[in-house]
Amino acid sequence: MKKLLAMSLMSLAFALTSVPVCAAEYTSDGTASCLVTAEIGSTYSVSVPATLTLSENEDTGKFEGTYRVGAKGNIAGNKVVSITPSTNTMNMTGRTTGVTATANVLQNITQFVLKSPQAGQALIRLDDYAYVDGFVDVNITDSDLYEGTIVFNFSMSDK
Amino acid sequence: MKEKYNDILDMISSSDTEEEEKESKTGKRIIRTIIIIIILLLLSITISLGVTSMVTYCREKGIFFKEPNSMQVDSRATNISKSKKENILEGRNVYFSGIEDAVINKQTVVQLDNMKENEDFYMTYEIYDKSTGVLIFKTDLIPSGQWINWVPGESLDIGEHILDIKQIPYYEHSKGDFKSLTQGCNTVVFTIVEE
Repeated sequence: MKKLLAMSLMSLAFALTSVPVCAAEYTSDGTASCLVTAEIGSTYSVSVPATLTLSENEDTGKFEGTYRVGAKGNIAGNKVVSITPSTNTMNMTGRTTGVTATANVLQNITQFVLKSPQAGQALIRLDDYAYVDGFVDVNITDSDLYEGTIVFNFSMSDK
Repeated sequence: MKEKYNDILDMISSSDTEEEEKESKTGKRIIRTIIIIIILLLLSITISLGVTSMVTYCREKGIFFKEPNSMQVDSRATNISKSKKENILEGRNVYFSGIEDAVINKQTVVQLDNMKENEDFYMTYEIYDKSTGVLIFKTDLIPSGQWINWVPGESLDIGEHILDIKQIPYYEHSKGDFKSLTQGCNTVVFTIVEE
């Protein structure tokens, strides 16, 4: 009885102290993914401008602005971090008049890689942000203070 | 003797008269000079006053003078547009945490954090099922340097889920007045498996 009790207690202690780290799951094509059972945190981070003010270009008559987005992190060589504006156009609304205007959003480099960047890609760094430029312009006909919101989509995927 | 006495008296009195006459003439000359000086002074004051008032009149009317001589640089002049002056967030960045695709179980915890680099910006999370657009989970304001633990397995079934993890930063302009800033949307694939 005592032996049985001792063995039960030991089994219980073992169960409580063991922490499964990684149990491989194999798919039919032979690739494996690691099952994370504990906690997921961030592996990379993205920087975007908090706000963007557009200024008038006297040559073109448009209101324009340049922004910078960046990424940093410890990513694998076969991964790519993408940062793109959610849309190529953005609606802006006059605060007083309610008049709307459509702004164009252009960003040529949208991906960050660990090495050997191709066209449209930049190198990512571990400890500080690598930045790329984007451009916004809009035609305004009615005088007012216009506001709009940009959403940047970001993700990590395979190359 | 008497005649001589009278002669002497006459001489003295005549010389007295001559001196008196001399003195009288000198006095008159002095008085005349003082009067002339006073007149000249009064004349110059009158002329000066006249000229001054004429100049003032001409300045006011723009006669002979182009504009009043009181120009100075206006201290209100600036080369910064009003909107830029009001934008105290100009030049600041917002930082978002990126989450990778993962295979998880029902108990896995996902940290939804507001990076400490965001300082006085708050962060909220809204997590949507990308295929249906249904809101799965949301948070209130998270201060920088802190996070909320989210267990996807409590909201999602076993299987693959493509999620849009929207991160919406806020800046508190004044007490209770929050302005939303540039937003981020992290697309993530969570595959939830049985243990």
